[in-house]
Amino acid sequence: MQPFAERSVEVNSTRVTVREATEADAEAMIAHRDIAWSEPHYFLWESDEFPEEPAGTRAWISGLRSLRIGLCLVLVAHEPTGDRVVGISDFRGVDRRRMRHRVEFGIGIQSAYRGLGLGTFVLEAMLSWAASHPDIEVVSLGCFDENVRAIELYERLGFEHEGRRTDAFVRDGRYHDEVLMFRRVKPKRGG
Amino acid sequence: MALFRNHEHDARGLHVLIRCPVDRDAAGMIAHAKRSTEEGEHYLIEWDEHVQTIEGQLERIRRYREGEYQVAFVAIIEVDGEEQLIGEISFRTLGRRRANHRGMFGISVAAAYQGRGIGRAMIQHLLDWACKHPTIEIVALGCYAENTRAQKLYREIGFVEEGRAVDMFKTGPGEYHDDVIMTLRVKPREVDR
Repeated sequence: MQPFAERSVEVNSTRVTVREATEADAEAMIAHRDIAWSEPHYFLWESDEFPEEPAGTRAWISGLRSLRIGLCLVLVAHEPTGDRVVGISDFRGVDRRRMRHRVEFGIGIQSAYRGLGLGTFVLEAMLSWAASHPDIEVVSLGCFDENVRAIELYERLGFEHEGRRTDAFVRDGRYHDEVLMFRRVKPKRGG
Repeated sequence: MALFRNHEHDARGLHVLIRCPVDRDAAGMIAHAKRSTEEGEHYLIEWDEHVQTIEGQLERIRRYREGEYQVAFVAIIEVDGEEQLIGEISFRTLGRRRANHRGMFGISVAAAYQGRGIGRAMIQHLLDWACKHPTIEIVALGCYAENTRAQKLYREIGFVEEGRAVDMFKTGPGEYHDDVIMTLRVKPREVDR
């Protein structure tokens, strides 16, 4: 698979690195999930839908790493008390001839590290990785309609709207539309 | 979900049985996938990417039979006393609680039998299943933007366009196709029932 070039940034005097996850990150990723999923969130998955054991998370990471079109990134904050995973971004492409040029991603950052520009930082790194990937041409996403801050971030990064699925998600008994967006990371090829 | 009832459809004099696939359909499903992908342009995957073994198809049949949020139906005609599989429709949700009230389907009908309302009958049967399902409220589909004939049928049934996934399919160098996303609500929101 395509190697990902690690990047770091400093926010509020804390150094934060985005890099590819390895199996050794499983416990730290679970600790991050425990925090991120205890906060109000716009994730598709609910906390009890993940494998409970670290082995399940390790298998999930190694599965993504073995794919032709897959990526699992962790956002690691180098805090005085030690390193901590504070965000995860991943995607899994569909490895079929007609569809492998277009991938859909997900991202989640725990609230203590939101509003600091880290979403932009991770997405820019991910987009530049996607642009250098031999197969990927289009990056897409689906987002809860009321997650306005995320939508504004995607718009700033050049994502365009391409649709809206009515009542796509049910969260705490309420229905939400899904906003669909895409961004080309390299020109159309061939022909 | 458990086996759903059968539907008998009169396709302009041709008797078509629409039912859940069973183990004896495995070979027919492979032959149908091969023929459909060879004669049609508007498919997601190409023939060499299909499940091509009997064991693989038996596994699919089992999943559709046992999965709580998925189902498949096949269209069967009788030729010289033998069953012949001429269509397949399959549906599933994402399998996540926040999105298990909606799912997508894919459908194929052998070219020789198109234009007789068989696809429409298969979709109606799926919608009937979805109506009776305890949680499914929305049935969605994706369709090549150029396939306006299919979109006309979907609109007639009641599907509404909700978006176009740009350049979703790439069928060759420089050949990109948008994916038209359409949905149909088959029952009211749970909170309104």
